Amino acid sequence: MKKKLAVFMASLMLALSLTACGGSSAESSSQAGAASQASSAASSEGTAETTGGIKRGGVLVTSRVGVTPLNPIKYIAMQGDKIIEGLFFDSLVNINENMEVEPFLAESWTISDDGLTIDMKLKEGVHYFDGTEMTAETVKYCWDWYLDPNTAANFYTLISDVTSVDVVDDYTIRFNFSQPNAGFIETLSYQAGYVLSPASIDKYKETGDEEVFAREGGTGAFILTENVDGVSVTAEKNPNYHVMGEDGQPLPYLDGVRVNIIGDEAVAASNLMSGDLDMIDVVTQPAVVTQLQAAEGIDVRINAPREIFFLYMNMEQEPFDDPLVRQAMCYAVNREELNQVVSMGEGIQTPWVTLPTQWYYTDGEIIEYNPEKAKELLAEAGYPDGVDVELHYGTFGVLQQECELVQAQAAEAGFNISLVGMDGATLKSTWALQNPDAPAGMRIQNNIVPKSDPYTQMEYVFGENAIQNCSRWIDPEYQELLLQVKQTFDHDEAQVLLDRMQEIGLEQMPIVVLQAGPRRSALADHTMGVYFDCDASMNFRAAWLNK
Amino acid sequence: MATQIVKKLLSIIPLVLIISIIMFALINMLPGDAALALLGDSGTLEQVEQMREELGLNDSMPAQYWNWLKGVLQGDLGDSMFTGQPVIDRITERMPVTFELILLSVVFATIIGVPLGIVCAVKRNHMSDYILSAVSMVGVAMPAFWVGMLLIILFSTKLHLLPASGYVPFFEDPLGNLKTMVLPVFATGIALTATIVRQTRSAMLDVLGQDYMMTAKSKGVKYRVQLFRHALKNALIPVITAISMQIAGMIGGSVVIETVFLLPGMGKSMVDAIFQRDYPIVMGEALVIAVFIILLNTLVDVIYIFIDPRISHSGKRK
Repeated sequence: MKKKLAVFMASLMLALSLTACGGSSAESSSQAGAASQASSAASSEGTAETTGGIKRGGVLVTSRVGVTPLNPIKYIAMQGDKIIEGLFFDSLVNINENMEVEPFLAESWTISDDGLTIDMKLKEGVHYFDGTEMTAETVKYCWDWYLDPNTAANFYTLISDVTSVDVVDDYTIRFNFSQPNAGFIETLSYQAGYVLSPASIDKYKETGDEEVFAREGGTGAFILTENVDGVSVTAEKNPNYHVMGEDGQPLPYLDGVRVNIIGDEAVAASNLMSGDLDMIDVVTQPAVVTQLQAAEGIDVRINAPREIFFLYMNMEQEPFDDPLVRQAMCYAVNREELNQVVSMGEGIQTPWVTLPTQWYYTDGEIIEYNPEKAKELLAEAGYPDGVDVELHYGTFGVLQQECELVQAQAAEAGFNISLVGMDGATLKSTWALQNPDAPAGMRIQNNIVPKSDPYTQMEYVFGENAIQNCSRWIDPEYQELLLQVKQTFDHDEAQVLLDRMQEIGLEQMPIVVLQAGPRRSALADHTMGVYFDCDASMNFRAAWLNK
Repeated sequence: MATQIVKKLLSIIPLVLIISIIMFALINMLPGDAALALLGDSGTLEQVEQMREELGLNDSMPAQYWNWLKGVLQGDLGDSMFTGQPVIDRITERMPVTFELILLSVVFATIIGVPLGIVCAVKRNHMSDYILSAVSMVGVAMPAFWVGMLLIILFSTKLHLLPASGYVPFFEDPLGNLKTMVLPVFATGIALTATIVRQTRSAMLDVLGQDYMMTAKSKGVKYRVQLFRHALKNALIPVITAISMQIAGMIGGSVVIETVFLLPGMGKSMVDAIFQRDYPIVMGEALVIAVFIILLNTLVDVIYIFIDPRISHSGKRK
């Protein structure tokens, strides 16, 4: 009996070790898992090759790191939510990977000399999912609803300069403004640019059905078939989509898309390697990136935008109410080390919350790690023995890793940092500008940059009403310049204003910019044609599966 | 016995009320604000206030609780703050997944654990006892998340035998359902199996040393009858207790497995709701879980009575 048991155990161990050492399987990644996923997704009609080797059919399965409300007026993350919303809703304009505005549902536009009206010519032949045609009347109906404060659209503040929308002719609308808004067109590449059918709006008002727009009111390439909140979103192709593919037939090439909500990157990576996923929206953790880079048949790509890591410092409370302490903190971080360790050497240094690829980027000094100088500044500020501060971070992505490194670096400079981790909702509420009981100390943030336009990008971090103005930095001159930027169409003029804003920011140092890390996605080799725009929101209208 | 069971069931009501009050207080004590969470990245002070008013978050805590309770008494658990989905729909959609996971895990663990526990007891101090006890120790110590990831790497990534994630309802595709449940059930059940092995072994050793077992042996009762009719039946009570306590823990722990294997269960739903500060979902699901656990404990009490008639209806041994 003992011998039998020993033989059994030995066999088991051998089998396990052989399996573990087996290396990557050469089998197709379309396996049981993918099949089972697809069974509850949109139906697959098989693949039929079309022009240029593109194959039609199949269901692409991707991951999304967080939950996305399907009602576009209730988006949570302006950029990230477009990954799912973009399945169902087309925007009036697009911003491409080079950060240029491109026509989409709007074919062209004219801005009046005083900047107070914009006439927009709409594309003809676009239909909502419910079969009605998109016309100037339907767009006006949608915008009247958006502009109603009772609608409480999350993007209301971005469009509140619009006083009314008029119908010029069947396919031309006119936006009337109370004051010029230079970033308005760019804003229309986000949720405010989605156009919803009047019937779906009426239905929403009546029933409160949050999914009605994705099922009936959009114009996108895919139509919602199932939403299991927090788990998955499944969509099937819109057979009447208005964009043509290379084969002269309507897009999309795919029969459907399924988005699995996967908060844990390691889980997402396992699913990609097993063939249960065709792509992962965002990969940040170095260990997971390395694992995927080493895996066969997977491409880890770096997208156009970056995540700028920076530290907010609460300027209303000690010790960061003192500019010397804020300055000291700037000298207390080793940006190159952060880049090498957390961003795997793919990060870049930027003096402010802009990227060199943006038209309004201005070069500036990148402060070197100098703990001695930081100590001197701290002593000058009245902290000769160092200072105790808290650093709050969200327990997601690489923020903990980044904070631990900052903690170790700043210790050399006299900052005794205690790390406080918390979930995203808690972090956001705790540090919201609207919270009068916000803690002293610092909060780390990783902002996806670029945003649609300079005003939106700067207002997001330093706006006098912005939830995310966690430093509570409301400098009158800066705020005045920010408003001027909003109203300035000429890039050269705006550049002057933005340069001055950067100067003020670097003088007062409301934040410590760390590094601009890469934003990565991972795709199986058979996943083709996924389009990434400038903020790494991807769309699948021309995606296809080469398998 | 019927009266006793009715009494037990009635005692659930105040218990559930107390639990709901504690849950409500705890949720409201959490830092974070549903209005801010709903407003996303943007939002002004006015918008936050408007949202808080709409959600009833500006009411006092007792008023909020009373409003919720009134709804519950009328059969309305409210709607999700994020999706507008009625809470009752969310629960009926997610509960079967979690219950299936737990049920299959318990069945799996019992089928494997009890016989192995008996083997350990019967073969006490033999090599098989040592090996199985050591494996059980490892089983108890292994975190479910880690086991789950290892299983995915082995069976999905390397061997491509089973899906790494996903869920297919049983009535839609029984085979597909089993395929998607094999790994989650194994990952969940492995710790429970180990617990059952250890518990069964210990209980069996205790019973096997009793005088009445000696009597049965001296009377010439067959070994199999001794083992299964006399020993195992008496040893089952602590095993059942252990299983019932594990089930309560498994409901809480199911979130880990549901997250790793992307199962649309209640554990994951509840944790997501907590992160989103979606109070109606959290309260509704917490209520259902509390009622389930209380009912489970009541059921276990009743099972005791059937297994061991010496236990009186008041729950005490005669």
